[in-house]
Formats: sequence, structure tokens, C-alpha cells
Amino acid sequence: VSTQSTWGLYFVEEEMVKKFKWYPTEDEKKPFTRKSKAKKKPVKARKGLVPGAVCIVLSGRFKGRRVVFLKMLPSGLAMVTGPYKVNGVPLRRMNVAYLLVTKTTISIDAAAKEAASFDDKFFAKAKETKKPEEEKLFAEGAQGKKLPENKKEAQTKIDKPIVEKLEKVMKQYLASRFTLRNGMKPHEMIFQSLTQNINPSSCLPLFT
Amino acid sequence: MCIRDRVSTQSTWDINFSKEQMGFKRFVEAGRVAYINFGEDHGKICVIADVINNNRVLVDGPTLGVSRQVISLRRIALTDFVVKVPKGAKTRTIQNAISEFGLIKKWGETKWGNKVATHAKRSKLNDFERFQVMVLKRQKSYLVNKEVAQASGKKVHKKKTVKKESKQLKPNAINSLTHTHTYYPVSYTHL
Repeated sequence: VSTQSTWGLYFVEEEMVKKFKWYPTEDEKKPFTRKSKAKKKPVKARKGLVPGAVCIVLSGRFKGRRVVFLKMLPSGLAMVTGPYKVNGVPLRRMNVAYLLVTKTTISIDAAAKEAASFDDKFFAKAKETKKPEEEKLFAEGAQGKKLPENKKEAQTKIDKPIVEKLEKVMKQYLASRFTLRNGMKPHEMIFQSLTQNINPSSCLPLFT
Repeated sequence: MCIRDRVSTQSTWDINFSKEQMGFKRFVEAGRVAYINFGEDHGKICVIADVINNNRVLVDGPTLGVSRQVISLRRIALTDFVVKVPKGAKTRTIQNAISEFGLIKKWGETKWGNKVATHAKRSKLNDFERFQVMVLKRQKSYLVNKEVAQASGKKVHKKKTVKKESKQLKPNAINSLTHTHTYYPVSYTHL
């Protein structure tokens, strides 16, 4: 309803009456469309996010796990692996926003070469053909989703050179989870600086 | 300044009363080395150059990272060390006295000094380094508890994770725990 003078209001009302012969009982819902086509911005560069960097996953199915960063994918997501044998995290895409990047890095020269060939298409979900539910239930041989062979091969191909070079302490580290305990203040904890080199080999594992 | 530094059990009016007879052992005096508890320079040690009044003190720490300043006694803790320095000494005098005394080295050898250094190190650790410290702590505590149990004649609990318990621990392994890192100025040989 306009806030103009009564003449203007009258004018508007006349227009409205002319346009519509009937009014719907409820307001129609319009689908939301962006008026301005917002372009996807490129992902901001993260400090310390280098191939081989150990990251802590902050959210999602694998939260708390320590994971090795392989490369950035064109979609803006980070390609990441556990390695699978060490901590159960497979080759996966992760949002960089949910990765806490630490300064610890692992040498992944061979793995990086392998990883270079991977793309978003590899990780994208395969589109299911629409079937009625009953058909799905009674379909022969329907036993649930199986991991395709190419993914298994890719996992071993990338993980093998990484795991071979891992020292025992590093394996323990990657296998462990990040947790906050009493007295730990996350705002005071440092993740990006290395003040001194505690040589992992000097931390002799007493019990093998 | 803790309460121990203030309470005296001896009467100060006795004729033969001497400094040694007082309950106090650490005095606020020119040359006394003090540890700064609070403020910008917290965690550092300094030398008391002069006493202003009951509450304030002039302090200086030339090679210790403390500028010459007036500081409240409430922000200070007295240490055992006294550097030979006249009252109101200038920065250069104090600097020479500190180096002659070997203060930095002596401070590093004390338990207190060690603790301060350890805390400083620990606050700057990386995530991986924190993990390594945790593992070392775990290993050390296992050894310590084992020794204690053996000394007291109790049965040693068999840890599930330890597969080869019958193996003798090599002396090198224990040494690396005690001497490589200054986190643990520990010798459990006294057990």
C-alpha cells in the first residue's frame, strides 16, 4: 500500500483492480533467485598449507584426526589422505576452512606426483539412476555400496610412498587424535611455529 | 614476596640480635636477585639496585632483558642469589657484577630457573612437539611407577601395550629420557 496522497492511493488501487480479477487465498511462494549472479571466489591462500603438511580435521566425520594434505583441487577443496593404513582416513576432499594447518610436514614427493593426476571428478558422487523403492529392495545382488576398485588402487598408490618414509613417532602422531584436555587453552596453543627441533629419532621407542 | 619473607619469629630488640638470627633468609637489599612475577617483564630475573620505600624498589637487569625501572615489591619474588653491588649502582656496574657472578648460568642450574625455562619452552611448542612430550611423559611415568612398585615389593602390572616385557631395558634408552630434554630434570636413581 503506498504512502502517498489519497489521490495516488486511489490511482494505485484502480490499477490493481484492473489487473487482477481474483486474488489467490495464499501468497504464492517464489523460488529464490539471486538478483546479482554471485561468482564463486577463489579460496584464500592458507598459511602453511603446503603439500605434505599435517592438518587437524576440525569438523565432520573425521574430526580430530591428523591428516596429510596433498594438494588443492580446482573446486577449492583440499585433497587429503590419512594415510588410510595409519589412521583410517581415506583419500578425500576436505574444506580448507575445517583444517587446522600445523607446521609439521611430511615428504611426499612420489605421492605428490601421483596426486597430480587427480581431479574433482574422481571424488564426485556417482549419480544414481532414479528407481522406484521397491525395485531397489528386490534388485538382485543388491548388497549395499561397495568401494570401486579404482578408488582402492588410488589409495594404495598414493599412500604407499608416504607410509614407507614415515618414522615411528610420526606414525603414532598421525594415528592419534587431537583432543582438548584440562588446562589446554586453544587460544594459547601454537600450531604454526617450530621453535626447536626435537629430533624424532632421539625419542627412542622403548617398547616395540 | 611471600609471607615467609615477612614473618619473623625472633624479637628484634634483643641486644645480640643478628641478621642470621632472623627468621628471614632473603632480604630486600641492593644486589638481591629478584624474579619478576607480574607485568611486562614477567618471567625474568633482575637485580635490586636500591630500595625506595616499603613497597617499591629500583630494579635493573642489563643482560637479563629488564630495563632500569621502579617496580613494586608485590610484583617480585626474592631469590637466593645476591650480587655484590653498592646501593644505587648504575647499570654498567650491575652488568659487570652479573657477568662476574655468573648469574645467568647459576640461575639456569636452579630448580626454579629450570622450571621457568621449561614453562617458556612448553608454551611455544608445536602440535607435533606436544605429542612427543606426551609420549615421553608416558614412557617416563611407566618406568618410574615400575621402579616404585618393585621397590615397595608390589606386583608390577603388565601393560597390554608392552609386548616384550622380558627384554631388559637398555641403559641408553633411560639416559636419553633423562638427559636429552631439559623438561625432565629427573633422576629416579634415588628410588
